[in-house]
Amino acid sequence: MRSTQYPGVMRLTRRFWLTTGVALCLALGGWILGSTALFVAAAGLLGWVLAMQAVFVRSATQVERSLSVEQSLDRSNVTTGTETTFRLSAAIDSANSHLPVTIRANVPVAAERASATEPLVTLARTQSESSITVPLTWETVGQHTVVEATVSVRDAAGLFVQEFDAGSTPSVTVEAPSLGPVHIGQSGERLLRGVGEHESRGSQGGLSAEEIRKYVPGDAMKYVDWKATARLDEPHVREYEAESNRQTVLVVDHRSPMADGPAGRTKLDHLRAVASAIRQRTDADRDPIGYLTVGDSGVTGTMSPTARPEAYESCHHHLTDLAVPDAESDTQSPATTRGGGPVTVTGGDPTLTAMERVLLSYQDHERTLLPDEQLYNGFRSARHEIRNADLVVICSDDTDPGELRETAGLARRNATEVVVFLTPSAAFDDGLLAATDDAYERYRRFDQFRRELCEMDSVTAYEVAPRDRIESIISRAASDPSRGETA
Amino acid sequence: MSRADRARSLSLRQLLGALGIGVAAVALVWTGPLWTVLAALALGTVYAAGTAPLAVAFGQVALVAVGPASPAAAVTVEVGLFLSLLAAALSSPTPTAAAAVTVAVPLFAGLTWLALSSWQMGPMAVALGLVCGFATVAYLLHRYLLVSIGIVSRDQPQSATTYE
Repeated sequence: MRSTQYPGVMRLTRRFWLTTGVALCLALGGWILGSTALFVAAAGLLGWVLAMQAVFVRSATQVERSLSVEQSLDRSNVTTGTETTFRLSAAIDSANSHLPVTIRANVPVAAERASATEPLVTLARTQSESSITVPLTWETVGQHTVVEATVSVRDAAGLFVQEFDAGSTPSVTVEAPSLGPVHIGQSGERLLRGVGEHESRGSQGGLSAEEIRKYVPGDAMKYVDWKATARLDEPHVREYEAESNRQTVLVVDHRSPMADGPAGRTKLDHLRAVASAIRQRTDADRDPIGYLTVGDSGVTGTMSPTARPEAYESCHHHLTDLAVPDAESDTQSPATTRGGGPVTVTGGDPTLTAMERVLLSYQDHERTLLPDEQLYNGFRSARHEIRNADLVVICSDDTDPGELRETAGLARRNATEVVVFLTPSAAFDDGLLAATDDAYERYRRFDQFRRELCEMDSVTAYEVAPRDRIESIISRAASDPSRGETA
Repeated sequence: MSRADRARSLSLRQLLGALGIGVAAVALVWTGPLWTVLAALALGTVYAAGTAPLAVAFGQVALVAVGPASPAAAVTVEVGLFLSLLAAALSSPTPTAAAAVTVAVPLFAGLTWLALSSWQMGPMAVALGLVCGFATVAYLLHRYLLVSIGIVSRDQPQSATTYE
């Protein structure tokens, strides 16, 4: 049977009922036997119970007035599955001893305790303060409030228990781990053109007719649609869909630093969104697509550029399954290869100096590897079709600028065009407030590096980050004119 | 209250309780026949294993069963049992508990004795008065506590029903 008790009611314990029951039995016995002594005893016991109750009322009132309960959460906005720290602290302002107090936090059912620790604090008779910290994991989307804690006071004789609510009521907003608005651009300016778009429409080239438009000076006469011109009494030209055959290769870095950022909004999540958009665009344009993915232990997947439907599907699934592997799984997973032989690329000669590494990166030897530069080594060792694609899209971050610079340099010497999408670490550091000087300084260094990449021939570099973080960092520069502009 | 004060309070409570039960037991044995020794032992056992109110009830029944020869013996037993109740009140952190017990227990017991012996009230009326008076005072104290700690306001009484 389910019992619902109103929390404000003074609860009477079994000991209370035993005592009053004995007193009533004495009174009954006195009535039956006509014994004054039993009546007197019953009255004395009931008087004792009332005296204890009066003392309890006074003591409980003092406890309620001198007790302060604080509840807090270390974060007010989290995504599902994120762990937060809940703190319950209680202090009683009493010079003398007090009734024992138990404070229990009423944690919402949406929160899951990571440990078996109860969110419970007990203040013994002479204890003035105590606190407890409990890790909570939020599993349900929504706004959740930790209601007031339940304070329980028990009298010394164990006859009564009084409960009341006290404490602050912290709230937390739990959101699904989905990407918010993604900023893609340069120096804080958003990229207006669609990711992965390229000029394929025009009057020149192509076989399939797209649309008819008015003639403008400069249009070649051979594209004039004479029937439409005669029908509309005005010169018109017919545009054709160009037959694109731009080979695109996605080079995606999913090493450990790509896990930076809150759950569901990591660097890798942002770059995956960009890579997926490019894949969609190539699918729509029927451009051949290939990929090369690199983890902590080397190449984790590769596919030569192909324009078959299964290639787009394969690319989609591989991008979706990309994750930052932990150390164990990464070392055990072999590189998967599609359309090529097995690729095992790790390490290199660790004895090389920095200068030697730079020089080696400019050499054209097929198998010259640099130590601990999986991205560079993976791209250098990739199949010819991958290295010599028309468009190489590199998705990485600014953790190792030297390696990325070398990789981009290698790519531009082979490919026709190189586009680099970079996630600035300053925008993904949870411990770094976006509006601080440190964040701005780190972003400024990042932007300088990005511009260095852009200065390379046929290389374009973009930044990819949460829009709100970038805007927050950029606003720091705007509020301080002495810093100048980043662009 | 420090740890030493707590230990002192505990020993005082135990000492007073043991003294009260001892006085009551000795008075019972002294005034009654031989079997009251068993009753005295049982009284000590009930106090040690149970609670003071249970021991008081047992001692009172034993006193009625023995039928003390002199009022002095009866008063000695009652004083001993009262001391055990007083000792139980010392477990409260506030010293007012002992004062409240010292006032309430003799007051209720004295009024009941007066009602039965001097005012010649019937046992039925005394029992009803006792129960109703107890219930009324207990309820008023309960409501006072609810208002004091802010669970209910003075103007807006709130139902305190327990649903099973």
